[in-house]
Amino acid sequence: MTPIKYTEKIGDFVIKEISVFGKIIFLLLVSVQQIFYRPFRRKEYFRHLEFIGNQSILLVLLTGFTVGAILTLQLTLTLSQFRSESLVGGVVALIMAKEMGPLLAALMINGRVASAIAAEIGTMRVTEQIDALEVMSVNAVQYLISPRLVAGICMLPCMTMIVNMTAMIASYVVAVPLMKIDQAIFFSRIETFVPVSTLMGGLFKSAVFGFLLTFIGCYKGYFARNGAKGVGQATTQAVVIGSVLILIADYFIGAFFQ
Amino acid sequence: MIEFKQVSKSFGSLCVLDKVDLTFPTGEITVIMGRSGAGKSVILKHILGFLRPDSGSIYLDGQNTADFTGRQWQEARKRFGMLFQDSALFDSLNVWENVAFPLLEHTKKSREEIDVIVKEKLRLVGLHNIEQKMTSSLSGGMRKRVALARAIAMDPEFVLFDEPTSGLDPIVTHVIDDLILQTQKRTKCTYIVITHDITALFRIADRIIMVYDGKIIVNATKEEVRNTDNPLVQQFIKGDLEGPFDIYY
Repeated sequence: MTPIKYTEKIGDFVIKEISVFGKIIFLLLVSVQQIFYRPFRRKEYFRHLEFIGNQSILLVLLTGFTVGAILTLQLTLTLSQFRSESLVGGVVALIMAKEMGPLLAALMINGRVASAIAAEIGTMRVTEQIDALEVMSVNAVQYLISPRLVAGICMLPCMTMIVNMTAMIASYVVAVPLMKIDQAIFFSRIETFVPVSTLMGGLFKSAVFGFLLTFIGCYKGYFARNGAKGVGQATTQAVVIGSVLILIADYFIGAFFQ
Repeated sequence: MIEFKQVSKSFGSLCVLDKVDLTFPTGEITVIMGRSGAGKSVILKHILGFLRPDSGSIYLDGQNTADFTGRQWQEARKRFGMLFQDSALFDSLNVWENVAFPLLEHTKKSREEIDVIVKEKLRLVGLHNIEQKMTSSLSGGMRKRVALARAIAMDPEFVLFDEPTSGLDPIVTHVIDDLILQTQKRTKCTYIVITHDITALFRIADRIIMVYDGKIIVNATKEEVRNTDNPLVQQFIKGDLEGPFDIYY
């Protein structure tokens, strides 16, 4: 390959990446701006709140319960080697409130919600339904994306609370009746280890995750091309990119804000 | 009235419209024909403001659309209805919600008033008692009819059709053509239709435009088109393999 061809290739790549970045920023700004513009589509907001929240409850209940039980079992066995098994309630609560609750809720909901959002909006794109919205003078971003972003930001903290709560119920069930840890100590450790500020920090993190996973789903769907294959790719990419971004964001929020 | 004056549009090195002059007269059905990729849809996208010409101007009732702001375009688009090639009905909504959609979005009419309009528009396209059906359960012809009802729900001044009869059997095609004629007669709107269907073209058109190589090679009544000695037009309407068209383009 000649140096000119090589430079051309690099140039093409840079231009392509910059234009993708531009599209992301533009869509992000417009969709956030449109949240505050009329008309406020209450029905759409409730529809997405219900989809992201209510329909995910069983998933997060199961996740919270199993993770809470596993963590408690393993931690009790490990801590008992140091005669510190009484700490288990506090440690599980701290792990759940700070890290595992927001992260698990986000990853589980990402698998369910981001893929569905990308598939729905992507199908609308390739079947000209988004063009139809524009022809009818309806702002497609305001109609399709803004309500989903708000629903994601609102529902993820709620789902995180449910994960935390069920994890602690499972933790109690494993620790107190099965592992014979004193009930009073179990609860007192939770109070000592998890101040309200820690809990709030976890909820803030989950709101960020909610925003990320819904936005990635919307972005991938909105710019889907090439028919069914394109929609399929958008769906897969939404889940993969969403998961990776959630993990990266988790690290940076932990490093800089907590 | 919609007017194109010296409109040019290129995508990269491909010139799709080359100094095109066009007029879509008010209250008439203008049919645009031409081969796939000739630039017919590009003309529609220019009319709706989704594409801007590289040079030249487009006038909507005498106003240069180049001067329109985003908000003005939003207002201008309320004067248009459009029937898409694959109907583009919202599959998460039922028939009633689809037809009522523009009315719910842009008018302050009560639900009862909207219900009356929806039923009237559905009756106009020959449909009744299907309001609560999901659009995915409808046949291709019914979907087109619902899409037409939605396109005319706001009583637009201009209705655009992007291949309204593609993929339909000849009888349903005839039904759709009749509906286009009937609704136009009733509403007196300006209809702009893109079609490849030559039978439909001569059935519905007041004027016929043919796009070829970025230029308008015909802009005439259907009788003039039928009798033209332009070999490109004759080959296209007869579907001949022999002629000036490169069939392996």
